[in-house]
Amino acid sequence: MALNPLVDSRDVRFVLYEMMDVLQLTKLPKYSSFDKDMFEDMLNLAETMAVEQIYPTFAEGDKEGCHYDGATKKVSIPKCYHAALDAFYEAGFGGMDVSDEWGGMGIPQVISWACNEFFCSANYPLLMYPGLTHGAAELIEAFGTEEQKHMYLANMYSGKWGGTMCLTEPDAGSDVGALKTKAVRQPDGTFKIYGQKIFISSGDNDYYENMIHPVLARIEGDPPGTKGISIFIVPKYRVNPDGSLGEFNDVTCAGIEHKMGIKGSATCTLSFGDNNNCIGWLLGQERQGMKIMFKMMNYARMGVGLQAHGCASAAYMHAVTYCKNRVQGVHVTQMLNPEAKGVTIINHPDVKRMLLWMKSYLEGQRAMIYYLYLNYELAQLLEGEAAKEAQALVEIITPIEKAGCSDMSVLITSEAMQCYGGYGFVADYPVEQMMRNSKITAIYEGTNGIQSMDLTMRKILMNPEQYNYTVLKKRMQQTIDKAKGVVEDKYVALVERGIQKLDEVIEMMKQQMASGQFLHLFANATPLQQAMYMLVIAWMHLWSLSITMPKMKELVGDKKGEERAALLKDNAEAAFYSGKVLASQFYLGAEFPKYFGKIEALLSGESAVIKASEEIFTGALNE
Amino acid sequence: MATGVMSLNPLVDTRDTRFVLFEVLGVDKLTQYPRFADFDKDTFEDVLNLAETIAVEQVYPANMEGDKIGVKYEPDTKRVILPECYKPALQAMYDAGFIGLVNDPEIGGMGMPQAIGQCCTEFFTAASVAFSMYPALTIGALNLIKNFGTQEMKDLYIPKMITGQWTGTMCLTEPDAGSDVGNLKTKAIRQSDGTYKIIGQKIFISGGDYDMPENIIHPVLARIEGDPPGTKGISIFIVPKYRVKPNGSLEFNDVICSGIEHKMGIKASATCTLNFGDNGDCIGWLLGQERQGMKIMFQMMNEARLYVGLQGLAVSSAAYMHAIKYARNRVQGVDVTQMLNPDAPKVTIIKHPDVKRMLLWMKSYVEGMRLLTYYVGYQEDLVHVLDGEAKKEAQAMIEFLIPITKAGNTDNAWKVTAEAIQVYGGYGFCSDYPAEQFARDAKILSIYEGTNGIQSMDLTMRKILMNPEQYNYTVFKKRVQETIDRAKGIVDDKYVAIVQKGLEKVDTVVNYLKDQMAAGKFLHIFANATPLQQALSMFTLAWLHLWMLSATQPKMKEIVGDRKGDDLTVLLADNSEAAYYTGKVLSSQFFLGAEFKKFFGMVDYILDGEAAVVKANEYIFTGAPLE
Repeated sequence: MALNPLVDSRDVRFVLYEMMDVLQLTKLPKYSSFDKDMFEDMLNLAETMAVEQIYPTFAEGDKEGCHYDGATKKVSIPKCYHAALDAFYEAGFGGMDVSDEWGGMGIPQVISWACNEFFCSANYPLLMYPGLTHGAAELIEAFGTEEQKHMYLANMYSGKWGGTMCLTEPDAGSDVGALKTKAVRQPDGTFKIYGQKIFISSGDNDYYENMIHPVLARIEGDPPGTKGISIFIVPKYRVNPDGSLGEFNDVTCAGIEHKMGIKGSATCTLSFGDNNNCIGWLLGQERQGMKIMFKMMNYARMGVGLQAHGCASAAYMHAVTYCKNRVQGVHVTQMLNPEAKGVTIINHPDVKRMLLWMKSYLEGQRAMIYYLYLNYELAQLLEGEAAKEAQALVEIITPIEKAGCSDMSVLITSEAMQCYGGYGFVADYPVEQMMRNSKITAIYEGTNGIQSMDLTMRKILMNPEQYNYTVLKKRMQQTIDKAKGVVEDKYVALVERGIQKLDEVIEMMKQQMASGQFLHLFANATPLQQAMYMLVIAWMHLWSLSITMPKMKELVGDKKGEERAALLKDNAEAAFYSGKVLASQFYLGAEFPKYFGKIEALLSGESAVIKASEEIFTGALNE
Repeated sequence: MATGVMSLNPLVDTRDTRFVLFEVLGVDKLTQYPRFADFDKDTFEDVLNLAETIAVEQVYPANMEGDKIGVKYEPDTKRVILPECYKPALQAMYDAGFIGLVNDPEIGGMGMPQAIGQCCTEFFTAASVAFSMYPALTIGALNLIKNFGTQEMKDLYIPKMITGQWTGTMCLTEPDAGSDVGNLKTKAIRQSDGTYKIIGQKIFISGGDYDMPENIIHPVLARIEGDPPGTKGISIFIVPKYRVKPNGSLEFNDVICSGIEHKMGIKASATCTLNFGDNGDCIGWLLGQERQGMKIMFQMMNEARLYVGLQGLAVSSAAYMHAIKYARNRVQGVDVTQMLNPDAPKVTIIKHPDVKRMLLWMKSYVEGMRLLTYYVGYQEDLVHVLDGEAKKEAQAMIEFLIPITKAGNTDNAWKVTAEAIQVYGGYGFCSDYPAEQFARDAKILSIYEGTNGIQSMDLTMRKILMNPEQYNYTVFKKRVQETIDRAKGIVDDKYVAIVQKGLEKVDTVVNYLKDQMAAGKFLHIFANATPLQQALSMFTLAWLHLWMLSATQPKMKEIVGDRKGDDLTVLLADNSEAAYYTGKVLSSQFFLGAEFKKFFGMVDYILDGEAAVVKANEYIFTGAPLE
């Protein structure tokens, strides 16, 4: 299989075909015209594009960054991004999962997102341009009138026009209901839009011919808070009936942010209606803005988890290559031998530990992410209980995936830099940029604190009969049952115990809920999410180990020592499965025990956080 | 301790520094010893206040600007340009005598305790990580000369270095010699007059060259031609940028900066590549004996590693303090108990449980790290004033805790600074706000001065398993047990019990590793070195929190009594001592009651004996290109 510096291609196939059995989708009417060869073509094409067209823009785009011209109020994105985006769209990736009615290829979600893993690991800030466009187009596809769909979709999926998500304002971040942008009803059914939005990725740029902004705003007279929010389509240039671009629609970029990372992404402040001439078209029903936006948000959250994961995957892969080449120090067993020669650092136990740690999280995450996308699709394609269960898994895993992958990305990119040593901190090497890019994923698209609240309250405690949690446990139990006798007992027992412990925590929280101890629940939301993330990764590893352990035994048999080393060196499959087994054993046997410490922290009932008030955070300035 | 309101600054909780120094460590008691008899608490206060003032008023304002401008290199002139805003700040620090703060009065220092020095350095470093490295490296180079130089060398270099007129560096690293410093190639060729010609290239030299000092003094590790390879053959030389002629004038000594690094952070620190002897005219003077380079450098290593640990504490403190201020002012959302009330007023985010959790988490780590770092500095003072067993024990604690301080504080620094960005939300990611710079500055700390992997090996092997009779570890346990015994009856049982249980677990782990050592399972030990260090670092903070709680719990009870609800809130808002001690108690209870539980999972990582790391070899890391 091809080797690339971004994503383990062999592992992508393992997860898709050997774990998730995505070919099951081809048995469904929607995908009956697809087969494995077609999936492979897409994946290979995506990999080639990621490595040859997108990855070369990674360093350059960060160095050049975006520029804002105060005189023209225009934003220019890194020059190298243009050709890369052209290639991306020409190959059809802008709408790969979209219906051919809108010019898409209509491939399954899980395949399209496996392709996205390659793209995100290559340079995820670049992917935000088509990513947001795709998201905005989907909103229109799901909630727009036929007229709106015909006016916008084809051009958006083809990359001629771009899209954004306009929610945030200076005083409305996590509290989006506090937004002030207003919509004033016009006699012809349109609305005049007035307001300012900030942190709008791709808000203005010199790539797309037009920008289509879905904007959350409050119709004058509608109530405050989230209940009063509607959503409007606000193009940068109004579109004529014949599809040509019309008048400038009074959407101005007032500036861009200078950021720690994702410098190639144009993060804009947009002013709507500075000249009283900004028109918006209602999308869906009045005062349904939040409900509509949530559909996009859930999907976007899954996407952020993948961005973070891709970023971390690239960092890990670079670290592996670096460690295989950097000579430094002798083998630790030769430390007292003055004749000993220097070895590559991948031979040092502490370096192997760091790499195996990264590998184990990334492989667990890959399985979780693909599983999430598979179920996202199954929820739409299946019927009855099967569809409900798939949806339940999507509900409960989405916040875990978004928060977990983004928090891990910050730690994995840091550990990758640690493998590089001093050179890792130097800007000539790519890892420091990966670190800088990682942190925003824990913040946008709903901070991880928000994800944790969503998981704890909406997805578990307030979910009728805890249906989502019940389905999750059912699936985990199925994996445990299949693993018995195939995987060593100690690993199975750990996951079983993990579920039991989680049950204890959920019970405790249900009681706290019943007795109105809301502060305790909110203080424990993030600790719960962090623990559940570890458990889901453990579950994925147990599932994986059930498959890889027999395979490895088949290929490697009883070989030990030199014989085994020789086999692993020459036989790619033997090396792959051995690596998979070791990563899973490492996660379950060494890393996962830390989960139980997190559980004990949750069960401890330590109430210091509750008792803390703002006054006790002493020492700092008041303003 | 005066109950007056202590100054507030954006970097370090000043009140907490005094708590650690005087209420926990009792640093003022050092004045009973001859070495420190000239001082009293007031003099210490004066110095601490001066450091805080300079740090806040001069250094801190230069931090963001220095990062934006960065150090610049002119290839034509080979000049390195320091951001202009740094120069007056450095000069203010030098003029106030801070380079020689803890150094011998005989050489022009102030002779203050190390513990006081740690606090002053915390202020300067929190104000700007990059800034503080300039004087720190000068101090290190100066100390090398003081401890190992001839009288002539000392007379020639120290007076100007202690004033900052001349500065210093540490020249070890080369492109193929990082962790494996013995692999270095820089060579020294014996000259007939007793000097050496130096030829070689060093990289990553902080402060290696820049346009402020009149001269830069480089201690350079090099191999005398003919000497053996590896660490055994290394000598150390003093190589000034300008050599001093008999008439006092300066002559260029063929030390050229051939470039600087562009880095993720500490951008205002000049990270240089230095070429020695490009023109065959670079002279070095042997420091100490031939082939004693490593031994000499090692004596400085403790000091340097403690300093990096302090950098980890300081940048975490600055990030945390900024996060508090932001959370106190940023209005967003309603009180969580009012979520269903459409008329509920918006509140500042410091009211939200999840934000309080993040802040309390940061507070507990910053406060634990502060006591740890000052404690180690204080042990160095004790080594100077005590005798016999007491002196040995203080030294043992230093040996044991240095790798823990360096690795633990710096691993925490990346996490704390990242969490501070999280508190800021989207704005935290924007360069107009200071949070993201703290994080960018923090990551190098786990890498330089010996990567944390190296620290972990040092702790596991040299400081524990290969330490005769595990003396260091025995003393550590003794100290911990003393704290546990003193805490009984003062601190809630559950907190005492958890540290006791933790100590038992530490013993179990150390015995487990001793068994592996005896069985020759070196690969297992090396694979477990970092996990051991991480567990011990966490345990050390738990010990220190128990110690602090023994002091703060009674104080809080005294001031707060039985007050609850609104009564309590009013008191906390009005009485800064009540707020301070309450915060301390909650911080320690949070760490011991919740966070420390994770330690037991970290211990199980080791005890469960998973051998995957040992079984892994380079071939199983599949997927990535070979080159």
